[in-house]
Amino acid sequence: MTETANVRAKNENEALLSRRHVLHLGAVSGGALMLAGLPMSAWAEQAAAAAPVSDKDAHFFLVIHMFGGMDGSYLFDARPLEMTKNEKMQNYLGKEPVLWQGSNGVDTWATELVKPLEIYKNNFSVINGVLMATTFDGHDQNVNFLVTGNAFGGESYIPNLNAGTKTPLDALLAGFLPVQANNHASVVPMRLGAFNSLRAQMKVATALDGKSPVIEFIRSRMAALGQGPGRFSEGASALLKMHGVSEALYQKLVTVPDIAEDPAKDSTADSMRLAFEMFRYGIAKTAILSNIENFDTHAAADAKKQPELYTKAVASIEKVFKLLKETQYDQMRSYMDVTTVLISSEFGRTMRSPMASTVQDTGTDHNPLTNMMIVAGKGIKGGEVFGATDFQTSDEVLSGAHLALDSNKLKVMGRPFDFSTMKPSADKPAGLSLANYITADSVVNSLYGLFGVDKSHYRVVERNGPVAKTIF
Amino acid sequence: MKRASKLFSLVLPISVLVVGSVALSAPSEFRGYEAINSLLRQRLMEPGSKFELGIYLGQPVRSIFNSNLTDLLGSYSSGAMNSKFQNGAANAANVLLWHVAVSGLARDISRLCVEPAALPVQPRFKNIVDSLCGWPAASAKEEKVLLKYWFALMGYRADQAEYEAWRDFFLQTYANAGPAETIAAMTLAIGNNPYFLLQ
Repeated sequence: MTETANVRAKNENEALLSRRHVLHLGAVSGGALMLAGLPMSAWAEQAAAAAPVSDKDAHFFLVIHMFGGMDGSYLFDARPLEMTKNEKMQNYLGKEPVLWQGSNGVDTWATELVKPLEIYKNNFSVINGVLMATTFDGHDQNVNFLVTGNAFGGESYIPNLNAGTKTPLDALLAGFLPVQANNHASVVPMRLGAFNSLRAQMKVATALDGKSPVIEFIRSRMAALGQGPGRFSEGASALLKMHGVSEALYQKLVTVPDIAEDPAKDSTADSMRLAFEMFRYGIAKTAILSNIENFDTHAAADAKKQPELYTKAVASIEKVFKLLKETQYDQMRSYMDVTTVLISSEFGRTMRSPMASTVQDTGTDHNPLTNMMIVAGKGIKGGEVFGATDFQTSDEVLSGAHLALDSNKLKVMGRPFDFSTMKPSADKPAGLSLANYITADSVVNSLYGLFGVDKSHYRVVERNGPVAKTIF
Repeated sequence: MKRASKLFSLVLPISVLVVGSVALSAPSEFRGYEAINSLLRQRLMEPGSKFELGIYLGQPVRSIFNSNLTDLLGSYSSGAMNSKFQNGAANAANVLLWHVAVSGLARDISRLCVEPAALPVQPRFKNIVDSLCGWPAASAKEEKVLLKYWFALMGYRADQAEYEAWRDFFLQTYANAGPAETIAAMTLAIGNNPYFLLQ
């Protein structure tokens, strides 16, 4: 390229860039965009091009993971104070729960903390008593179980939801989710600040444009080295193949408008806003927001703060629902209409610690025998309650299945579930048969059903067991 | 050209041994962020440099629990129960991230011509870049200059044909381009070459 050509290219590029871009770039790059003729025109042309297209079949997925082990007894799986008076369980809220009536005829006790969610009642349903990895009680193991169906990790369900009209990324992850998934390569950790920084870097980077000579050359070498047998050739060939897909991702990313960070530094609002744009522009179908509040209240001092902790948790959920309802996907639909939402944790919590002398001064430990989840949005009828837990009174006779897993009677456990009536069963089985309970596998298979995932991915209960039945 | 042949005849057998020692099953994956970053530190940067390629992705580069963009470039998982190399297979996200990261490095190297403090590079590498700063003058296109730059960045894994393809491309396509543009493109081409990126 001659000097004249360089100057001309530079002028063209600058003309194509908006004033906002130029100001932004100047601040970020310190003038580096003066360098090459290649990058800027491609960026600006693409950024000015396609607007997002409304998809009548749009269907997105939002996961809110409350990491640490959320105690349903402060939300939709509460217990009467009688349990506390009889030293069975802590209750630092100190108030009797109220009845939360499901539109499907199933009720549950809820605390007053959930009151702010009442206005969204028709948008979400509660699932109580979800069994996790019953014989493992580690955080990682149960996150693995929830996400992959195996306490030691494996195939995550999240990329499987990205079937049909495939997006370049499987999911955005904001926060911390310690999962050993063998298919999470396109689950991209990203917060809004990082996204804006990356885009600033992309703007001054050489455009990933197959028509530019240097990119064409790079691909020609990948092609040349990809010839013939051997793992290196196969690797080069795979690299070449993905270079093209990556260009498509690049083109989508450059069309996303700048997303301003929340003035109040609200990370949930920022992550939601980023997720909405990623959905709208067809970059990802799923966003995972992993909350880092301290739900892991082993110490009594931490457990005593649970009323405040769950007040904040409810406020976060309320904010998510509000944003989903009030943000339009297109003229006719809000994001609540086009997004299925799963709010969960990796397990519930024990009712008290075995070490504590009194329930007035106890922490709580991990309890994989139950988990409370909330599902909302597209495909969810709303207002329903699925599942239930045992140990509703201090003198309840527990099942043999429960006692085999919790001989000290420190845990509540999901009750058996009648999948034909979709209601909790009063059975007290002597032994555990997971097919008769709501497990994380049932929840995932239900999501698979909503997203039209191929049956071959459906999870089975236990090794070589039947396919886990769906609940919504 | 003779000089190039001699050098390659010396280094190729060693590189074949290195490459050949890797397990022979799945397609080669990315070397990973840590490997490439330490390689760049050793080859280009001043001793003790804290250089992080990840700065070109616009994020802090050290993360816990694999929650950073650099982890997508190939990294060892830090799970409590096991540790394994992950995200080594090419996909849309990590190929784009490698491109953006290498592109940023390429841009900073090219700035060394006019801004010597643009990167904390070792004097030896700075001298090599300085020789290229005269591009498109004939002195910058000499075989010894191009070869030095190639080896400085690529090391000794690639074969001679790879070098020759790279050299010929720049001598032809960038024959009259400016030095910054050329050096940036040269670096990008090496940094995205399978010999550089893959195990």
